Amino acid sequence: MSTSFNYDYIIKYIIIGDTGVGKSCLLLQFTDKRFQPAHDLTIGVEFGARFVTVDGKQIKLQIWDTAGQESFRSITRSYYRGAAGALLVYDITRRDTFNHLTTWLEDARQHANANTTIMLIGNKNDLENKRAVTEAEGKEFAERHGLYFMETSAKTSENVEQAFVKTASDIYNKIQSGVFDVHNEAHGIKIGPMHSGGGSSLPIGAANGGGACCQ
Amino acid sequence: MALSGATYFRSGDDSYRPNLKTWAERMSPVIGEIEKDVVRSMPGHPAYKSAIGLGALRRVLYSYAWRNPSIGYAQSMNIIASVLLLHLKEEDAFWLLATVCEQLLPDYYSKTLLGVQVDQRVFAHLVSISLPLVAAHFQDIDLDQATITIPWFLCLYQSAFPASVSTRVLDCFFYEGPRFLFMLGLAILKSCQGQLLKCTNDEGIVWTMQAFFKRFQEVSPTSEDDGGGNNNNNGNDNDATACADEDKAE
Repeated sequence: MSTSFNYDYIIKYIIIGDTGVGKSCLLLQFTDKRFQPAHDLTIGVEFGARFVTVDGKQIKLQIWDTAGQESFRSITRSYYRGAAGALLVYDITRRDTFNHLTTWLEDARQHANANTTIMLIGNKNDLENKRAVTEAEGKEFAERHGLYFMETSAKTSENVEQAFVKTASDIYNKIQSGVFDVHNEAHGIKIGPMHSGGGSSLPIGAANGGGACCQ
Repeated sequence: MALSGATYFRSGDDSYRPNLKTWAERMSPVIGEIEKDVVRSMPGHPAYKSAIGLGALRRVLYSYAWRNPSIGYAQSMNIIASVLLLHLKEEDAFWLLATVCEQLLPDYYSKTLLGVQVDQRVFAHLVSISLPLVAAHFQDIDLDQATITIPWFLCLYQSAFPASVSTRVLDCFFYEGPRFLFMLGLAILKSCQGQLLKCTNDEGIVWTMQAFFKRFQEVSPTSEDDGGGNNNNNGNDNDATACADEDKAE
């Protein structure tokens, strides 16, 4: 695959949260529309990309998926810089992953751009019978800290698409209103070749990333 | 075991089994982390689809966490242990893991991963000397090289290459010592140099490197012999060795 694909913007995302909450599975569900229960462990940082359409504009999402283990924090911190969107993920069946949100958020606030859109995600909501964190608690935490909130299931794909697209449309609005400077790379947004070329005829998610883009 | 020094490191220490017994009676937050990772260490390999393989991996990691609480368990030790267990008896795999974590790569798997981070700086410096174009290009597109290379070093390239190549990498690592990680890294970047320089963003670099490792999957021979010497299996390997030699000369 190559970048004969046209798009208006490239937006950088980062996915953070405790180990084993399903960060890589969310990414895989979003980019490949599949769920892999026996997923390889993420060491360091992994990468995925996909196109979405917001307001008639083709937007390419570049998503960095990080290792969740505590020891990797000092490494993954450098990815906050230059991310316009962050998905902060916890596991609704594991209370401790919810309790750790504050430290994750502190990290994000400290190292990311102040305007970075953060989406709080309570993942694994297909496991209702094992639920340890109520939806109201997640919502309350998000409201208190000014985050968007959704419960998702990387397994059934519930809300996965919406979580990424909702974040993208918020970032898009920030671009339109001038909050994000598209000429400043540290804001995590780049202008694509199609910019100001009008709308696109491609439907949402028409293309998956996964090919070499540098030919 | 002999090349790595693990045989001498162990030298009559029979604490593995008794330690495991004691360990079984204790609880620690590390257990939860290990438990989650045991099933995603090498999920595609038949050995780790059975309780026997998973049990052995779990015991080696528990036992190591018990032996050395200052390290406990760092993700990527599971990858190394799972590979070692395919080639060695459980107790030997444990000692070789201990040798890697304490003798060969001290501080790599510590709570802050300090050792591997220092080595990334050293490696970046080596790249700037040996492959200045690549180093400058990474800088131009604002890519932290460690993004690509930290998993190489932490996992001893085991999750990057397919099994037939990664086993040889292990052999060379035990023979040459830690410097082999640097040599191989430089060789890989050198063989990809042309494509890397064409990439206009970090995403391109990531896909290029993935494509590079994938190539080995296609050409890797099925033979399992790893007892031998220097018979190179394919052209890329030759290329890598040659490049590594050049780097040594630098």
